[in-house]
Amino acid sequence: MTALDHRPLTNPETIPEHVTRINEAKTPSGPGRPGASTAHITASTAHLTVEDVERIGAELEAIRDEVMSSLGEADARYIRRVIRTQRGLEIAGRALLLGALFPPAFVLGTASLGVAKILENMEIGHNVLHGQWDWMRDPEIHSTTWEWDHVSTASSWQQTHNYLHHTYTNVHGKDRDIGYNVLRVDPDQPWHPTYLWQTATNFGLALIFEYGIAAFDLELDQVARGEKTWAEKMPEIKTMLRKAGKQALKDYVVFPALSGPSFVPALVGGLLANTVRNVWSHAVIFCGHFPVEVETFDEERLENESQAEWYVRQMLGSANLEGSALLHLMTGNLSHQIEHHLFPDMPSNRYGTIAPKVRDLCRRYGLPYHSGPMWKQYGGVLAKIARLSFPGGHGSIEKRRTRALPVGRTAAATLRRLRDRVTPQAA
Amino acid sequence: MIAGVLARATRVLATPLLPDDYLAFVDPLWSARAPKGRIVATRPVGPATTELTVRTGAGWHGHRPGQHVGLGVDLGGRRHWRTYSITSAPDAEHLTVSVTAVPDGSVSTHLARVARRGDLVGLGPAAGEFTATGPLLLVSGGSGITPMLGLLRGGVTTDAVLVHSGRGGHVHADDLDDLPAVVHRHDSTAGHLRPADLDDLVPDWRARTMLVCGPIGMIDAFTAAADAAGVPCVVERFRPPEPLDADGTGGTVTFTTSGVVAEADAVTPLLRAGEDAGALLPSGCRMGICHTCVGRLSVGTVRNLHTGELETAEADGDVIVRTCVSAAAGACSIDL
Repeated sequence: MTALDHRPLTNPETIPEHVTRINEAKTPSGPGRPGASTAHITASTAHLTVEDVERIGAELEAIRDEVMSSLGEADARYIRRVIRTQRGLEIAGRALLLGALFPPAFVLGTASLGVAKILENMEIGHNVLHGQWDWMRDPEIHSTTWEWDHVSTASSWQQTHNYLHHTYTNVHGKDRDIGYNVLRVDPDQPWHPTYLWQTATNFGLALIFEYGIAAFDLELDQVARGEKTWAEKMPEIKTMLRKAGKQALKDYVVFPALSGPSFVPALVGGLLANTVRNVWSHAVIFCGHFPVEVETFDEERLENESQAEWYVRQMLGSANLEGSALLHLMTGNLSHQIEHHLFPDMPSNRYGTIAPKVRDLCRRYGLPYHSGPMWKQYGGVLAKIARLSFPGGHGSIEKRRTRALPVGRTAAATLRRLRDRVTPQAA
Repeated sequence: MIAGVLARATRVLATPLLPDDYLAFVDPLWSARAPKGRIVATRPVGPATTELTVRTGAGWHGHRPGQHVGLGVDLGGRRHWRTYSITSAPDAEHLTVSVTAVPDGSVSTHLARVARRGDLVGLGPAAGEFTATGPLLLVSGGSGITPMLGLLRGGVTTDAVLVHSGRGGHVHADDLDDLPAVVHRHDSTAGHLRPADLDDLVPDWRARTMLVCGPIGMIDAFTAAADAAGVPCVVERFRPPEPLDADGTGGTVTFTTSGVVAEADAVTPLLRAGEDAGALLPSGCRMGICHTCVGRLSVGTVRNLHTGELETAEADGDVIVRTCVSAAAGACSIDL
């Protein structure tokens, strides 16, 4: 159970001006209004007019409204079934590991527990904490009461992930998820000699990903910058250490001890299950925002950004994974990263149904829709991290981004405008 | 002490969840965190009224005679809560309530006509102070009989007179004879029961404490008569639906934890209205995606600025709203 009072309180002086404006810009006053920045005009959007962007926003809102107004019993059944499955797998995994000296029990138990942990973090924890299931008004499946099997506490995660990452997606200086402070994943990040061994750093990060995320969620860089003191950070650090301690006690002491003679293999099984979860979630998350074609943005772009421009930024700054229904489930439907970033609080089981509509919208407006199979996306990310260990990289990555843009988008835009002129639409 | 050690030990095994979460996995009734009940029988007790017999789970802490309980029902995937008077005695094996299907009442219609043996319902804690001791006069109309059944079966007194008014087919008509009380039936199709009738029916009514439950008109008439006669009187009102501000002019927003009261129009987010009035409220994205700003709506109705949909507080329910995309639709209170 998360205590509500851990959530950040508004300090009126620190509400960033443009955040308030994002909210107020919900009425389609659009770009081109007085004071709007031109930073949203990039190679990928230069062919779009002000009205085009607003129309994209309106179409996306329509997609959202259609889904949100049709939520019902089938959706509720879905999440309850996933939770039941996950708890069943967890119990089965723990039970099998009690007899981990027997090799088949060790293998099956570790696999079962690993899958349970992945489901718990991805399809359940991440999505419940986004408030995707708050509409059911079930206090047992609610963003305000949920706690997950992750070292980062729910409230701390909600601050850095739901708020900072999802509001300022891929904006340099705002979205701390760009490289998680330890990696150079974009050529616009200034180079530093420590990046020389970042392929190894990244591999290490994958193994201990949940601890990395927890440390990252503490925002200790604020202390280095003198924005906060250690004393101010202490309560949060203590809460997280307590949670990490509980998880370690459960996975590495209590359950192995219950296994008696199987202590060592049971401990190894728990360690493996946690590591498998870490490596998998690391891969999924890196495939969501760090593939080569995905764009990053300057802070200037936030200036007076309209809701429609925000939507466009989310689409350009995310990438999907293609694969089977099982892949979508195991990634927590973050394989539909684009749809998730457009509508973070839409129940995850619906992303798959709106994905073709979003893809079609991108096609019609000549916007890139980044998507690919996992091996290709992840391979690309690793290659990019290797390249960016060294200074520079602007040229080659810019070339890849330009190549990923749809061909003939300007011509398509002109055609669309001509057609609209011939058959004026009622809307 | 051993139980305490065991409880702590199971908590270590279940972290970050609670042992309850796994118990509920086996049988939802075992969960103490989210108390549940299972309907074990249904029985029609009136033209549109059904008595539900509910087996209570581990989280149920009992009730006192005359109290009511919130029942939680999932309709269309969403949980809805409604409150019903408990008609069973505290020491009875199962809990009983009676639900009358009201027009446009989705929850009552579901419970009265659709709910079946085996269905699960959420259980709120028992609440209410509708009780008295000593010689009692119970006056009820229509479904107002239900708390009277709870009081009499619960044995709050040995000296009770019940005056019940109802249409031809009384709700619980067959159950009145078994009650430990002198019962007077009044057929309301022949005209309303009036306080003046009491002198004939219960000559010593002025020496009794009066308990009234029924239609508003009946409550008003009998409380006035009790006042005039100097008779102590306790009233149970079935909660009327919260009035909705039809012309969309917003309303007064009370932030109960902060103790801040703000005036807000129908398009200003509650978050903004509260901050402008000086409340320190949780906030994040301010555009409805991060759910940092959510708070429980305890009174009134708010309008979702995204969809235009209305969300209304429910007595025992957790209606949680995002303050950054919700605006007041009439007076409302948020527990923040």
